[in-house]
Amino acid sequence: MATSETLEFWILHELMSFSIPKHHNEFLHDVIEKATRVLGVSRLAIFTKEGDTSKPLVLFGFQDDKEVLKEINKNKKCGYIYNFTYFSGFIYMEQTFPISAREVRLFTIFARRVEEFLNYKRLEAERRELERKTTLLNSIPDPAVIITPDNVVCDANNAWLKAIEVSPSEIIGKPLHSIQRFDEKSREKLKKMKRKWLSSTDRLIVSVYIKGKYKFFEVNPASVEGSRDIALEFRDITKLKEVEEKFKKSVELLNSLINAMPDSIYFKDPNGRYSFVNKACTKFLGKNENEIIGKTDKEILPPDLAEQCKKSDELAIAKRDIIKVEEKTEWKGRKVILETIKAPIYDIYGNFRGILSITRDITERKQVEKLKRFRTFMEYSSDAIFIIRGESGRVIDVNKTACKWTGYSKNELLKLSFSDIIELPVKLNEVVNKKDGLTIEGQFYRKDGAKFPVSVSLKAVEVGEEKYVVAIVRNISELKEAEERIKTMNKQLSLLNKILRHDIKNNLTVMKGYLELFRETPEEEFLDKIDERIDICSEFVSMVKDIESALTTGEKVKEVNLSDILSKEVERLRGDDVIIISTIPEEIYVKADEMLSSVFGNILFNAIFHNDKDVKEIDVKVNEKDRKWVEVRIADNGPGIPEDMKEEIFKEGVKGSKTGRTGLGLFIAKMLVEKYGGKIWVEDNEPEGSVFVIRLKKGVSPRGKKI
Amino acid sequence: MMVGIGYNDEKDSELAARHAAKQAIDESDEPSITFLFTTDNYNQEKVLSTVKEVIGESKLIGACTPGIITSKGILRRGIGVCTISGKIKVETHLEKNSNSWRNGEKAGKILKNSGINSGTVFVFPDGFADNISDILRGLYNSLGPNYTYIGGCSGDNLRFSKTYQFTEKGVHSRSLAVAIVKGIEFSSGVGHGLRHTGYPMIVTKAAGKRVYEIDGRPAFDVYSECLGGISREDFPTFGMKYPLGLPYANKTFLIRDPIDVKEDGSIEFVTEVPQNSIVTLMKCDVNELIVTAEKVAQTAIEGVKSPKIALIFDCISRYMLMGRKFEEEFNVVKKTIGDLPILGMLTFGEVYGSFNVPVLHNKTIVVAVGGKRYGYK
Repeated sequence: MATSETLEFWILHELMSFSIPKHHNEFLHDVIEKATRVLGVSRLAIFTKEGDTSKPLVLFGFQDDKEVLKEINKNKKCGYIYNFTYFSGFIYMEQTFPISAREVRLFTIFARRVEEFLNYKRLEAERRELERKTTLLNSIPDPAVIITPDNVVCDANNAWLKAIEVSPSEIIGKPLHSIQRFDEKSREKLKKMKRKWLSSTDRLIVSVYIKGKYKFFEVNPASVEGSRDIALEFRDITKLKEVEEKFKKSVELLNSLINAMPDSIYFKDPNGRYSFVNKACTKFLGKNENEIIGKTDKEILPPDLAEQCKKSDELAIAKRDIIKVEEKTEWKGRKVILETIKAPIYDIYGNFRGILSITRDITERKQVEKLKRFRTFMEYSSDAIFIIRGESGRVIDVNKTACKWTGYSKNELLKLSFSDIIELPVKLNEVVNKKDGLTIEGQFYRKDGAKFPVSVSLKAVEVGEEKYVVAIVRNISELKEAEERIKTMNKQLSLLNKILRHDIKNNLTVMKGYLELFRETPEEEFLDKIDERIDICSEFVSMVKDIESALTTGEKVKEVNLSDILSKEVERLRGDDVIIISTIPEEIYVKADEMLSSVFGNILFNAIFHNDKDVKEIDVKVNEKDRKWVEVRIADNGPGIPEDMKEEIFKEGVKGSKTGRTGLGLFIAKMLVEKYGGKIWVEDNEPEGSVFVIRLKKGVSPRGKKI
Repeated sequence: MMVGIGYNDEKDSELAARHAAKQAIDESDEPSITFLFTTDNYNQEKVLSTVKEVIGESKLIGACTPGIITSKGILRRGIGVCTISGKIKVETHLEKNSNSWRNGEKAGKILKNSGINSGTVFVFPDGFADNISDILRGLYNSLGPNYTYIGGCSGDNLRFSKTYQFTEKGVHSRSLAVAIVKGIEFSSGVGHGLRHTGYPMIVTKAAGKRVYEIDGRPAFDVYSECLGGISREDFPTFGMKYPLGLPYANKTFLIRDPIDVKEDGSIEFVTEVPQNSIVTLMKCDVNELIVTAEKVAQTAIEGVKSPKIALIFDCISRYMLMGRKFEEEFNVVKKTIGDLPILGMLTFGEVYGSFNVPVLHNKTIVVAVGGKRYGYK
C-alpha cells in the first residue's frame, strides 16, 4: 500500500510528465487534463505576452479572457487562486477551496513544467518559424525578403540580394526603407508601408538604380504563418515596365491614329449605348464626347437614321460577322449617304461585347461615281452632251459627239459658253434652280455658222456645293424635215380629198345637169358639154394619180435622163398648130424620178392650153448652169402671166382665164420640182409670152461622169 | 415540490411506458421535469412518445441503461419514470453524434443561452463514445463552475452495440443528453471503495482510451504480470475485478475499467487513460464497496434539508462484480437515505465533479438527493 509520500511522488511524477506533443493543442489538452484530475483545478488560463498585450493561450472554465482578468482583479487577495508569472506570460489556476501550502508547491512545480514546455514550444516555434521563413524564402523564385512589421529586414533570399546588389550584412537588422539602392521615392513608399503591408490594397512599385539603369519591382506582401513577420516578394517588372511603356505609347499612337482618321469610329455596348467615339465622330455629330457616351442612337441621331442603325446593328449581330451598309438621311440640311462597316465583337468566351463601327460620308463619292458613270454614257452617246457650270454657263465638259457636231475641238468648246453654241428660248440660270429638268427645242450653231434644229434636255445637278447643268442635245433636223414632209403630205392629202370630194363631184353634178337637159332636149351640145366634163374628170383622176404618186412614192430622188424624158414630152405635144423648138443635149442627167415627165408635161400643156395664138410656138432649151444645176427653159408666145400671178399660178386650184382645167398642173409641177430639190418659176418672155424655168440638180450619168 | 416515481416491466413498450408514467404523474401532478430510464428491450421511440403523452409539456431527460434502479430493486427489463413538479426551471438539450470536446462545448453553449446561470447539470453521455472525458471537459468549458454536474453514461445490455439518449425533443443514439435544473437542490456523493495494489506504473504510450504500453512494454503483458500471469481468455474476468487507478486530486484514485484486450497487446478502457500518467492496479473488496456506498449515500442525504428524491447512478461493473451482494449495497443505500422515492440506473461510467469539473468515474456509485438544501428554508 502506498504511503502518502509515495502517492505524493506519483502526483509529482504526473505533474512533471508531459509527452512531446505532436501539436500545440495536444499539449494544452494535457495541461487541462492534469490540472483538473491531479490538482483538482476548477478553472485554468494561460496567457502569453505579445508586445504590450497579453493573449490567451488557453482558457478552461471561462467565457473569455476578460473574465479571467476580472477574476484576477476581484480575487487578488483570495486564496482560491494561483497566479504564476513566467517570462512570456502567466498561468492562472483556481480551486473551489483555499489552496494549501502543499498545493502551492504542487501548482508551482506544475506551472514551471508548463513554462518549460511553453518556452520549448516558443523556441520550437521560433525555430520552425525561422525554418519556415527560410523555406519560404528559398521556395520563392523571385527575390524576396522577410521583414518585421516595423520594416526591419530579418532575412533575404539570394535572388533578392542579387537583384538589389547588396550583401546580407548591409541589410539584416536594418530598415528596408534605409537601403540606399532604392531611389528616394521608393524609399519613401517603403517607409509609408510600415505596419500597413497586409492591410494596404495599393499596388506598390519600387525602383533601384544600378549601373546606370533603373530596375522596377512590384512588391507583393504575404504573411508568414505562425509569425508576425511579413514576406515581401519583389517581382522584377523592368521588362514588363518597358513593355507597358511601349504598349502605352502604342495605345497613344493608336488613339492618335483613330482620332486622326477622317472616318467616324465608334463602339456601342451590348445595350446599344456609345462607349467610345473618336474625334471625327464627335465632329460629325456636332456633340462633345460627354454628350455621346452612354447615349443610344435614338437619343442622338435623327429618327430615320437611328432606325437604320438599329436594323444594321441587328443584322451584324444576327450574322455574327462584319457587314457593310449604306445609310441615307438628311443631315444638317443636306442629303447624305453614309457607308458603315459594322463588326460585332466577342470576348474569348464567345460573349457578345458590343459593335465596332466605322462610318464614312460617301455622298460626294457617290456623286462622283454617278458622274463617272454618266461620263461613260456621255462618251458613247450619239447625242451631244454638255456639262455646264450653272452660275456662269460656261462649258466645263463635252463629249465627242458635241465636238463632232459643233466642229470645235474640246479645248475650244471649254472656252465657250453654252449660249454660244445653242440658242434656247429660256435662260440657263432658270434651269439651275429648278428641281425638275426641262426639255426644249433650240438651234445648234456649228463653227462654220451652219445651224440645225435640236432638242435639248436640261437637268440641274449638285456636286458638293457646286451647281451644274447637264445638257443632252439631240439633232432633230431629220425629225423636223419629216415633220415638214408630213405637214406637206397632210396638205396634199387634204388637196386630194378636196379634189375627189369637191372638184370631181362638182363636175359630175354638172354632167348630170347636162344629162337631164339632154333628156329633156336631146341636143348635141349637151353631149359635148358632158364629154368635156368627162375629160376634165378624167384629167382630175390623172392629176390625183400624179399627186398620189408624188406623195406616196417612197423612192428616193435618183439620177434620171432628162434629155430622154423631155424629148418624149415634147414629141407627144407636137402638132399642126403647135411648133416646138427644142434644144436638148443628149445624156443630160438630173436628180429626179419618173414623175419628171409629169412636170414637163404639165408645163408644156399649159403653155399650149393657155396660148391664145393660132400658131402656138414653144421653145424648149436645156442649159447647164454650172457644175451643180441644169436649167430647162420652156418659153411660149402666149398672153403672158401678170406679175401678181407669177407665184399664184403654182398654187392649187388656180386656173387661167380659160376654164375647163383642174388648176392643179403647175401646183403638181412645183411640188415635184421642189421634191427633187430644185426650183420652178416663171419669167416674162420677149416680146411676149412666158418662160417657165425649171432648175434641177445635176445628176451623174450611169458611166459615172458628172455632166 | 412534488415527486412521483413510476416503473413497469411489461413487455409491451407502450403499455409499460404508459403505466410507469401514469404511476409517476399520479403522485406528482403536472411535472416540470421528468427523468426517464429504459432498458434496451423496448422500442425507445414508442416509449418516449407514450411517456410524453402522459407527462404533457414537461421537460424530459433520460437514457437507456442495462438496468433500472427502483425502490424494489434492479429491473433488468423495465421503464422507470420520475416526475418532479414545482417551481423548477429546466432546459434540456440533445447533442447528436456527440463524440468530442467540441460537441460538449456546443451543448454547454446552448444550455448557457437558456439563461439559467446556476443549478444542477444532469449529463447522460453515450457509454461507447471515444472520449467521454473530453466531452465532459468541453461541456464544463462552456458552462463553467457555477453548476453541479451529475450523471451517468448510458449503455445497453452488455451487448456493447447501441445506446440511446433522450430529451422531450426526441431520442437519438450516440448522443449527449443534458439538462440544467434549477429549483431543486441536489446534494451528492461519489465513491468506489477500491484500493490500490502493486506498484505504480507509467503509461508510456496511449491514445484516448487505448493503452498501448505500460512501462515501455505492451500493456497486456504488464497487466498480466501484475496479476501473476493471466491469459487473454481470463482477461474479462480479471479485468472486471482489477481495474487500474489514476491519481486523483484528493489523494484518491480515479478508476479506469479495462474492457478489451487487442491483438497488439493494447488494452481498451472505458474512457481515456492519458499517456505519461501513473497507473496502479486496483483491487475490490466487496465489503469495502458496500461500506463506501453507505458513506456516499450518507454524504448525499446530509446535504439536503427536505429531501424529496434520490437519484442513484451505480456502475454496471459493480453490479456484475458484486453479484448477489449488490442487493446488500442497495439495501444499505436505501436504509441510509430513508423512505425517499428512488430511481436510478446502472451506468457505463458515472459523471461527477468532485472539484467542479465533471470527471468520468468507473466502478463508482453516485447518489444525488434532491430537495431543499440544508440551512435554507
